[in-house]
Amino acid sequence: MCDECGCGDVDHTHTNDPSHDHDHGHSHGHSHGHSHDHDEKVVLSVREKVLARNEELAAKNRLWLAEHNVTAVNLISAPGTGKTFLLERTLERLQGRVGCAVITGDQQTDNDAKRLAGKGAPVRQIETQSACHLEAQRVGDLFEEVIQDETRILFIENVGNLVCPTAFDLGENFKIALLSVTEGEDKPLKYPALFSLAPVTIVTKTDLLPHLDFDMEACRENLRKVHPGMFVFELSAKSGDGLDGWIDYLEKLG
Amino acid sequence: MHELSIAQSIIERVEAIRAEHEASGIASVQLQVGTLSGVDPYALELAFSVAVERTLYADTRWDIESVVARVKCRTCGRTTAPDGPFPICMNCDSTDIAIVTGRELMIDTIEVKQDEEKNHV
Repeated sequence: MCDECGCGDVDHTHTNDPSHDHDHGHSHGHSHGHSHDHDEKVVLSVREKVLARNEELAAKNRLWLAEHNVTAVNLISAPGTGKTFLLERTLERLQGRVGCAVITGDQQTDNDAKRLAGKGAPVRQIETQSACHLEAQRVGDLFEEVIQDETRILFIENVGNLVCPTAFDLGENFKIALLSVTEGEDKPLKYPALFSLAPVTIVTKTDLLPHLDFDMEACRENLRKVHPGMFVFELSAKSGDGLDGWIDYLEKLG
Repeated sequence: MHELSIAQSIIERVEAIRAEHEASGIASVQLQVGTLSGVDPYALELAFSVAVERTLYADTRWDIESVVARVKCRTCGRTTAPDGPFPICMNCDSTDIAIVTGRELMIDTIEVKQDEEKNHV
């Protein structure tokens, strides 16, 4: 609708001359002169990615990490999949062998940072407050604090959420998805966005398998369906089963 | 609910563009949201209704255009539009595909209001 005269034809123009002819099939008087309080509209073509700013900062982070010879992995899973517990065991195993650093995100509390402290790796917590994901800027701001000369691997433990963190590039080398056996083998199909982007999935809490009807083969099949060539680890950070393969992999990465 | 921070980023960017053009306001913003972008158009709409409160953009219209996913198959070479939530070739069921469209999350056009007073003395 034309905001100036209220007619339905948007393909016409108005001039400021009160005696002008209307070209849209009706006429009405203008009793006013120059004191228009309405606006002209101009359409601008923008064609810009909404997350362009985050992507720019992520690219900056990526460059910084490459210059400092650090491989960064962005760990993403639902809350309670066992990201922090796996990281505890991982830092213990890599201590003195591969220099590690951790940036961990949660909405509130520094509980995770406390759990991960004292294992030979600098740890910083980001409390995201209302946000359900980490963004490139806040992660990059901590690099200088957390990364030392000997750091080879940076673990970024994202906020527990399978959906939102997927959309925000942090400048990591790649994403790692985690999925616990209690969550069901169809999770990759239910949340394909993460699993289609992450080249690696860790299936956690395999010590619980005897108590569950979890079908590991179906899970692997579902992962491959969403992401052909997906690299899958099966492990239990609690029992230590399968942990060796994961540690070997990280040692090669670092 | 990352739609709220996405709505806020869009509003920030729109504000920068409005200031750059010295416009008095923004009539409407056309957005493109792909079905594989991870952003839900309804949640984004709701996010705007909250995010614009008490801002210059309370009356701005946010037009959200959904862009359907299209994938090009590396096995059979066809480009098809998957009807499910994950990208597979609709012709041969192959998962070895490249996503052509569907990941969009873009500001397409912005309709700015130019105060007419500035246009004629």
